[in-house]
Amino acid sequence: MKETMFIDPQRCIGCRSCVAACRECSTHKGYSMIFVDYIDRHETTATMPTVCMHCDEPTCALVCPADAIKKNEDGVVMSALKPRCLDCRNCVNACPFGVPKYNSTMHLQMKCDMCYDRSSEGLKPMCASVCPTGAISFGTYEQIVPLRRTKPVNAHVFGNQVVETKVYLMLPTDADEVNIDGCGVFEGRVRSDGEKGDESWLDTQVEETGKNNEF
Amino acid sequence: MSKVENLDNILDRFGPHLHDEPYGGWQADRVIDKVVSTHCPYCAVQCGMNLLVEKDHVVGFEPRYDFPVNEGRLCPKGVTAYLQAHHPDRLEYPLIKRNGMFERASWGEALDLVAAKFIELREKHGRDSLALYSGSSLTTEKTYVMGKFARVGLGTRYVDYNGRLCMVSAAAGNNKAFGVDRAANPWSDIPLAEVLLIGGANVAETFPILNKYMWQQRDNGGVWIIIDPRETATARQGDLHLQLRPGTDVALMNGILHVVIKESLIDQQFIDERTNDWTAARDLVLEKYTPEYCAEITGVPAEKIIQAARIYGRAKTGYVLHARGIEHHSNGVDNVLSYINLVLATGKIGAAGKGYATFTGQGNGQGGREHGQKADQLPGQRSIMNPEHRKHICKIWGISEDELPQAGVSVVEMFQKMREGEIRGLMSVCNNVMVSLPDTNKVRESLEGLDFYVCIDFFMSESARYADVVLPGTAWSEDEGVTTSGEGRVLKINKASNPPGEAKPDWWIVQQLAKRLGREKFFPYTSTREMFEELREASRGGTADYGGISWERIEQENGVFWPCPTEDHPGTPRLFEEKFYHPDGRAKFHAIEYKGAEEKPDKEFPLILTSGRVVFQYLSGNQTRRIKFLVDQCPEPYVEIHPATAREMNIRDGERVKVISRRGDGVFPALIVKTIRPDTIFIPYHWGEQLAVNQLTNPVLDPTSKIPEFKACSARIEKIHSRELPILGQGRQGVSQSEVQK
Amino acid sequence: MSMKTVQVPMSSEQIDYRNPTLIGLAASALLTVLVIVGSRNLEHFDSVLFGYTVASVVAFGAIFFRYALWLQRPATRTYFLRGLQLFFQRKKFAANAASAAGTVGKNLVGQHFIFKRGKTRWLMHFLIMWGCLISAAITFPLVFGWVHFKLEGDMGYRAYLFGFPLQLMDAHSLVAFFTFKALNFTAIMVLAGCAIAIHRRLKDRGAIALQQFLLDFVPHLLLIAICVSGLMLTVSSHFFGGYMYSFITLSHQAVVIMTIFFLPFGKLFHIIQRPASVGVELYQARSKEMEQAVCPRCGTMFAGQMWVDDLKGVVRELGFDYEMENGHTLQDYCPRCKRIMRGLAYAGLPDTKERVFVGSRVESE
Repeated sequence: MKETMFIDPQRCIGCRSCVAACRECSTHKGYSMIFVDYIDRHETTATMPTVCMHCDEPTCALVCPADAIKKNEDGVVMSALKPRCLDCRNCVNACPFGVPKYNSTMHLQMKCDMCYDRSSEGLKPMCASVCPTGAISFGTYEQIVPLRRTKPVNAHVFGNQVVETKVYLMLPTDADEVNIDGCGVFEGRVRSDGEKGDESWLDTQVEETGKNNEF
Repeated sequence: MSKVENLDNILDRFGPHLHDEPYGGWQADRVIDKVVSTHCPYCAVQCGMNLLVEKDHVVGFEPRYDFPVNEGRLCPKGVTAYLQAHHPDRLEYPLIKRNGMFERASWGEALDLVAAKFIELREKHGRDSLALYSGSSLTTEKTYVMGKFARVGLGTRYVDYNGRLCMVSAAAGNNKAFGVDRAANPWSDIPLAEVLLIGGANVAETFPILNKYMWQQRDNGGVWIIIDPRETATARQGDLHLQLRPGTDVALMNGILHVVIKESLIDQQFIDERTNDWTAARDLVLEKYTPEYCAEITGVPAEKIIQAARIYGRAKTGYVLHARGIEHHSNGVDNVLSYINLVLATGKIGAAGKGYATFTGQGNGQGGREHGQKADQLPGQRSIMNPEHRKHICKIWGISEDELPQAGVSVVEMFQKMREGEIRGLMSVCNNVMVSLPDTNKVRESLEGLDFYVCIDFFMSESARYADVVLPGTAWSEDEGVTTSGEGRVLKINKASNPPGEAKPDWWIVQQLAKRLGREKFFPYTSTREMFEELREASRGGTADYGGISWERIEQENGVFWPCPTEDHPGTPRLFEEKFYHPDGRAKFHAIEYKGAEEKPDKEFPLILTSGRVVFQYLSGNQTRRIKFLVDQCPEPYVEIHPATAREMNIRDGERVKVISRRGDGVFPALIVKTIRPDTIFIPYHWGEQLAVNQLTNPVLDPTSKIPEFKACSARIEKIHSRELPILGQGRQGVSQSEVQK
Repeated sequence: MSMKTVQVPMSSEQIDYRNPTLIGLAASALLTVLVIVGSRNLEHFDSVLFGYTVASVVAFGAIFFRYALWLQRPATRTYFLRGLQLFFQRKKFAANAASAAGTVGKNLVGQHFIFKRGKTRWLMHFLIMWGCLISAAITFPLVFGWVHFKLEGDMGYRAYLFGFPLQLMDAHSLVAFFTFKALNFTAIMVLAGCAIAIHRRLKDRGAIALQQFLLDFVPHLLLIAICVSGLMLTVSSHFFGGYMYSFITLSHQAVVIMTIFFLPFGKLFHIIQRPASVGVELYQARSKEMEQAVCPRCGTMFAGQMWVDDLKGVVRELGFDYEMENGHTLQDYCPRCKRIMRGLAYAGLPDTKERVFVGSRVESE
């Protein structure tokens, strides 16, 4: 598969069309595997879309005690194999991007598999099909990059760790890398009383209805 | 006495219930019998979509990549739209209210009752004691039949439609300035413009798919100027955000025009050759509306006004777009005309990349306002006051000219007349007044005062609860017909499945009523197609000329832009390339003085309340508030308050506060955000009864367009000193997210 | 670009094959001894079944080899050792045993979790699993000579287990009928289960996209081959006077041995692996009772501290270094905060062209 995903958070309008459409894919029918989070609703309407970045060395797969998570020849990291998954949730908490979802009653982990039923047949995944702005796009590097003014990067820096991925993140032209080091606050944000968790209720509402990483 | 006595019973039987599964549940192994190419039922972008049908049930959708407007893209409402087709709340048989309870009735019984009541009222109180209030989510054929039914079937002058609450100010403004009411350019001109100037439009949430074009324009190196009292996602992403005080659009636009003139950024040749009345407009703006003066009124710094004028004025191409934010005002038409003045003065109209348009709201907002369900209008954007126009339509309809009633009044005035007792019987189709009209308490009074109220809908809306008879209509996927999208493109909606239970197409219901009213011969249709052919003829020669448009052409050409007078005419994607639609072919300037909103903040009500929409709900929410996914994302309305204002009143985030205006009050959770002006609060409007922001809004009307002032009224906030009301988001602390099972 | 480099997590070179091999050999030896002892020095051993026995002994060793190899995964080893440690905590032992028994009943016997994944799926799995388990419970002891039957005149059959006599059974009783015909019934169960599974694999678009022939179809085909050839033995002996009986026996033996060798690999390994969920469940239950990890950003308790610490250990052992400037490790944060932190990091990137995350507001803050 030459195509991959290009994530451009600048363009995200927080409509969660992708979250709704994700459920239409046959490999995870009825369950949404994508996230759109407010980054700080007190400060801004900005939202962050998160799909699986499909790491070259997937942390989720390596921390799986059951060896249930496999990366296929296309570089797509699949959902846990149903017979193997023991519902230990190591992957849920180890993933640097916060992607895998689990369901305890089903003893199952599932995650974004780039809508493999579609992408393996050359169709766009549902999220990339419906995304109004192109915040989530699917195509080849040669197709997407000339159309944009942003810069594709497929490595994230988490503290001391560089994680390389199949999926690209589109960075502003002035930036070279995205470095997640410390918990971060929105620019200009002064915490009122140093108290933790002074997030807007709207930030957390989606998490509650979406039950966070539970599907 | 309340007409809704058994609310619990109604809620229990008809919802809104939250439902979130396709028919038969989520299955990956369905055998799809057919794939139906159609369009989304919701907004006026009319995105293409393919519906998947299994055994006469709509069970899913597939992106329609080949439709040029959206290329497969959909917003969350569009993605979940198919879930309404087999929703358990669907009305499946006629209902008659007896002793306060809705009871199942047969079609014959229900229709006989409605007809008998109409005849009785007409005999007692005259023809104009009946009214028909329609909507623009119907297909164009249906809107045509509704207008005809009111005038020919019921014989009343009182007919109006819910576009009155939408973009009617833009329609009036466009008619005044250009002599036609349609977007001047197609959406596909957006990427060709150097500058987008977008006023009062939360494009990110209300027209998500048009962001496609906007970002294409951005990728081409374009710039956005966004005018909005709130920093919406669109405003945030824009290059220049003019965060004005609600209702001060005229001052802002006059200020920008002032700078444009001062810095000689006008297109004098265009003005001379193609417009009239420039001097009056110019003199007024130059004399009074300096950037400093406008800055004081609007709250936008003068430098930003100058900056906006330079960006727009210096650009070779530009596209001006506006929406409800400037139209929902008692001076909505003035607002629109002040935008048009800027467009005309710079000559940025009528060519590729030089554009102007309003974002029409409803799915068929354009088609629905063209073919005669508007109080003063006849098919083809003809006027009911114009003798020539009357003659043409009477000939098509086969009635004598004195049989055709005169112009009626707008919906808000109609509801006034109900309270006054002039209108005694109401038929409503495709609308939900208890949510959408301003001043809900007065609306309730109007509905309860009626002698007879019949409602056609496919879900039990907040308004339908007040009806004496509720007739089950069809959802969009159960009938075929055309719609006209916001850019003037006539499209075809196709039928995917049959309606559930005994539900019937709305036009069939109207036809049956006409039969019982003895007007059968005027409604001889056996299919939607016959209505379309009649409509084509009726529109021929009018401004909105559909004469050359056929269903086949629409399918082949992915829609046809009107005017399209003949079969071999290619349609008109871009208006005004050669002429405007006034008789002399020129556009008109209007000298517009700033008046502002009717209510200005004062000591008692120091804040400006503005209302609007969220991306997860559509209009009055009768369809979308039943789909669990959408409700989960935004379960109830909230009030956006700036932290500075909240701090003054010691209001915490998530705390429920009372918002009070001169007309009523409501309790809403506070959402404390820096993205709104400190002097402004915002509440989304999609909910009814106690959750309705329209309990507070001001029903004052624009003198020309009769649009109510949804977007600015004075209000204040009070803290509620009660511990019983939960604070949203509390209780989350310390609870393990991933461990707790609900 | 940054100086930081991608560290290569545990590669295949680090895998130790020596111990697993020894464990595998020991297991094979143990089974051989058990066969010899259980059949009373091969007295009750049927030499016709020699092929099966050899295959079983080899596969038994292979399973242990594979299991030992599996336990080398850092995550598996951590769960395994911590699970044992928790299980044998002195004060909690009784409670642990009870809850483990509960898990065995609910998950391994009742397969509640598969029921939740889908009712048809549960039926499919139930049929295949019990069909296979009952068949195995009947055939392996017979093959190893652990069980044999003796005809006692008109009285009926007497079964012997490890050479010890059990109760006498009337040859015409219902019990006897089911005992001797059991394999036919289990074969039909397995066939029905496989039919459901294959039907799903041919219809479900999700399954079609993901399945692989070797992993997902071969096990079913093998089971079907076993069942069909087994049933043909019955048909041949009952209805056709033993027509082609020895050929069918040989074919049956061949497919059974293939399946046994397939057991440690691919899909069938889950049979050996799944009981570990008892340990995982215990681990989860205990960690829920212990101190909870608090996400340093949002303050939510999102997992047991022991679990998070173990996980961080595993991640480190794998060669990742997610330590951050503020002293926390990425895994200290809840999944949602990881997503938001990435969003915040992105929003903070320098951008002179398009300041899309910070609009230009009225007030200057």
